[in-house]
Amino acid sequence: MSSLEDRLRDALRREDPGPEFTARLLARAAAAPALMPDWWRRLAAPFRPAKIRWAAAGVLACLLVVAGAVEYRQRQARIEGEAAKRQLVLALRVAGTKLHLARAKVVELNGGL
Amino acid sequence: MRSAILILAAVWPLAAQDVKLPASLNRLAGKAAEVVDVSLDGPLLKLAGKFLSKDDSEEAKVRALVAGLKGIYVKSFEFEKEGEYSEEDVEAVRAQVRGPGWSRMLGVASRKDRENAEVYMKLDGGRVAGLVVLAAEPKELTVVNIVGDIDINQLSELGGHFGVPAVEVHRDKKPAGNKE
Repeated sequence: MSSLEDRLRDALRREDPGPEFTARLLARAAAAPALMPDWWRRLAAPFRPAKIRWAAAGVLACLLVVAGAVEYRQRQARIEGEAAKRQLVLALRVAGTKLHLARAKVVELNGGL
Repeated sequence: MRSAILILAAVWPLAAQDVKLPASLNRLAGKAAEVVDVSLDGPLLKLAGKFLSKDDSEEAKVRALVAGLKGIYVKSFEFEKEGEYSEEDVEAVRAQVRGPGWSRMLGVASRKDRENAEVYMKLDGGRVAGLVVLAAEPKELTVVNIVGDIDINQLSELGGHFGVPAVEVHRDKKPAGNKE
C-alpha cells in the first residue's frame, strides 16, 4: 500500500454525522428563503388542484372557440357585404344604362324634329 | 288560353302591391348567351350599403340613392340569335305594371331596329315609390325593378360612374321619323 492510498482512505473514511444532524438540516431548510413569493403562492393556491386546472383549460379553450367563431362570422359578413356591393353596382349599371338608352332615344326623336 | 294564364300569373302578385318579375323569365336563362340576374332585397341592400364608402364621392352617391330603397331586381338576357323570347314574356312584365299607382312615363318603340324601351313609375303621394325599366331588343331583354323611395336625380347622377354612360349616347344615329 502506498502512502497516498492510506491518506485517501483516511480522508474518505465514513463518519457518523451525529444525532443532531437531521434536526440541524430541517432547521436550515426552514430558514432558507422561499422560491416563490408568498402573494404568488396565495394567488396560485386555488388553481393547484388538478380538476380546477382542467376546468380553467376548458374555459380558455371555449373562449378561443367563441373568439374564432366571432372572427369567422365577421369575415363571412365582409365577404357577403362585398358580394352584395358588387351586385348592387351591377344592378345600378344595368338600370342606369337602360334608362340612359331610353332617354337617348327620346332625345334623338325630339332632336330630329 | 296560355296568354291568359301567363297574364293571370303575372298579375296575381299585385295583391302584395309589389312588382314581382315573372317566373317565366327564368326559363330564358337557358337560352341566353349572357345573363345578369340580380336580386337584392332589403337586408342585402342594407348590407351592401354598409360597404359603400362615405368618403368616396361615387360610392357616397350610391349610398344616398339606396338608402330609401327596399329592393333592386334585375334580369337581363342577351341572346346569340333573334326570337329567343316571345311577346308573351314582355307582356307578362307589362301586366305587372298595369296595377293602380303605376304609370308609363316613357315609351320608345323603334320599328326599324325593333328596340323598345319603356319606363314605368309608381307614384305614392308625389314621390316615386317604384320604377320598372323594360328594354326589349331583338337579341336582348332587360327588366329592371327598383322598389322604394327613388330619387330620379340621384339615379341620373350615376351617369359617368360605375360604367353608366355619362351622356346620352346614340349607338346608331338614325334620322328622325324612325321611331314611333
